[in-house]
Amino acid sequence: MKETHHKRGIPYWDTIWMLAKTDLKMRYEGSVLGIIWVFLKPFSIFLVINYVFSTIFNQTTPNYSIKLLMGLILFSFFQDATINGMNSFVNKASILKKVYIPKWVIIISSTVHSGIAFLFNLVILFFFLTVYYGIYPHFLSILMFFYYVVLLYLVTVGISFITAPLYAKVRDLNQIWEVLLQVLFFGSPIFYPITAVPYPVRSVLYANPFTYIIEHARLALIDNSITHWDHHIIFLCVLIPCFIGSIWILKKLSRNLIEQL
Amino acid sequence: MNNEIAIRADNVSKSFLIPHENRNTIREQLLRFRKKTTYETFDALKDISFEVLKGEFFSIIGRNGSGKSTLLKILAGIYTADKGGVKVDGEISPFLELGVGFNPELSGKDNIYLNSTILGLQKHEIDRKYKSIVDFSELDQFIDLKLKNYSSGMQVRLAFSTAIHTNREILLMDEVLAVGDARFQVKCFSIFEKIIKSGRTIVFVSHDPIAIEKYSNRVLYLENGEISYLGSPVEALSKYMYTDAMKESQSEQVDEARGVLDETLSDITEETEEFLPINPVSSPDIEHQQDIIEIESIRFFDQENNETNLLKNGEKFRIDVEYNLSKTMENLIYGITIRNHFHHDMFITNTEADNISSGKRMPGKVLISYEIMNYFGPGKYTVSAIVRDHTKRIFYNWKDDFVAFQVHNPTKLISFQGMDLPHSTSINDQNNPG
Repeated sequence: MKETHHKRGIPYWDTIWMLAKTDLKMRYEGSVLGIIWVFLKPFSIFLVINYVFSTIFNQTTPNYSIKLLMGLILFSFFQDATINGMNSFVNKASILKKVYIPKWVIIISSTVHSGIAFLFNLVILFFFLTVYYGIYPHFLSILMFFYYVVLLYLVTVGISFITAPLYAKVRDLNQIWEVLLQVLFFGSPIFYPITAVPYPVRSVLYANPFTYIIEHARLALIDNSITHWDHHIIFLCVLIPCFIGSIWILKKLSRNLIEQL
Repeated sequence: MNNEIAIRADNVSKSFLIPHENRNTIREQLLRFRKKTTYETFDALKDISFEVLKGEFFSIIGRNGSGKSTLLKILAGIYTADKGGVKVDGEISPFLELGVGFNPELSGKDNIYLNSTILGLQKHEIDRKYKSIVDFSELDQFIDLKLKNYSSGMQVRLAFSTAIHTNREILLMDEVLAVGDARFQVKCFSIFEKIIKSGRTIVFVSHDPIAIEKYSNRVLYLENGEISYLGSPVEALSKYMYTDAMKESQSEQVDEARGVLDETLSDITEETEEFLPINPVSSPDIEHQQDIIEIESIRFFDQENNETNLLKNGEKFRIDVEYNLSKTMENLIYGITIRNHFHHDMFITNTEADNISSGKRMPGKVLISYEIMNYFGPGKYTVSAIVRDHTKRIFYNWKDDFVAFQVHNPTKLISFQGMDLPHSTSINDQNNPG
């Protein structure tokens, strides 16, 4: 009998949902535009980049704008969710110190809150895709698109499982993470096509999980093609062990964590 | 695990590392790269083993820093024990603090839902209990108001009524009972008694002897992270009170007594100023001459004439007050006041009231002895000494709450900070003779 044993027959989904809802509410509490900020933020960035590249640099890639919008929406979800996930323990310290809640519940609820904002943005994306571009994706393509979204979410959660407990101990992790996010933004084919990158560098970009997700999500939704099964298998073979590893790291780092908050 | 046992703790140990300097950023780590961080280990709990039976009211008592709260947090699963472990049979309600997760920007209703889900309730359960929670809190008309607009009393009422509706088999409580105004407190205690009668297991942490004595089946007395005593409440409490008194030297006692009194005073000054003793300094027609007479000491002696601050209820004791006169004085009145922890006067006497004339006194020491039958209830009392002239115009010295003594009664623990008068109790059952 080594570990503290807690029986709790009930699932935690209500707790996760309630915390996520509260986070979303509090985020836009008192702001004039409220929930509209969820759309406004990626959109304003989209407008700037779109203007710069379509007009000034005369980007000729077909469907450039919608591809850019999609990349930006996926990236801003990733950015928002990893930051929220990293801050989750520190922000929820007052709860963690007083009540027993599994650590993963806190992390998931913080990322779900970003996920809600993401879903709002998807509605806009589909609106543009169908009404403005006249692209009606196949049912299977939409299914594949959401499969990639789930993969992206797993990457996000996996990263948060490591950064959340680490941030409680090393408080400059948020600065480091901000820089890494910048690097990732420029190192992913968000505002440029991957084909524009010369070869040795392109292989490096392919090692970035975000490249895989964004490229295939675009292929599915905009080009209506689901191919490269070898890519999917390789990606899963890397993702699954990494995710399991992150759970193990969370468990390791969480021991005696509350005392340090 | 045995069916009868709700919680079993086996050799639970917990220590905290207290670094001498906190290194939270990488820069600090780099700057002090060569220097090793030094830690101080604080053993909060040392090898604690006990069992809590189902349906038992189990109290944990101990002074600040004795490890009570750490133990409770380990039972709740918030901290993990360094060694040993805890087994819990049944769902535990983490009742450590009221209103966990309360958000001032949300309405009362949203806060009920938020707090309840954090405490482990599911949405459909809250839907079912919602009306009852609101009714109990008596906040029906304010429930859609934001929490920040509530008074602190209202917030506590909302938190308490949410907490009691979690309805788990095992409750952990860390001194959450005294909440709200007097009327609401009565309600809380009645619901509290109902919970106890419903046969739930309760682990209660407190240093309030009255509540512990009233409800507990067994008491665990923690001292410096170790079990000092585990068993009957009366035994545990008298041990607790006894060591409490023995460990503190006289000066510490006075400091503490003064601290408590200061707190109490600042709390009540606004409303009850007229009931407080008139301070000679602040009254204009009272002359104040501190230099002529010094109050040297106040000492306590028990029945066997041993000097002690720990006095037993039901026995005679003596208070010796020593004055030092620097001038020849005539017809002085010497007196004492004994007050309890709440700064209530429990007993006042002086040489004038006792018809003793002090006559003419040469410079030197004067010793006044009071022999008193100890009818004080268990608790802590302070003694103030005074010396004045017979006109009540000139106060030569007035030392408020100069020293403290402790009263204990190992056999009977019923009332505190009051009088425990000699009496007999009988039941005369008219309907059932014989």
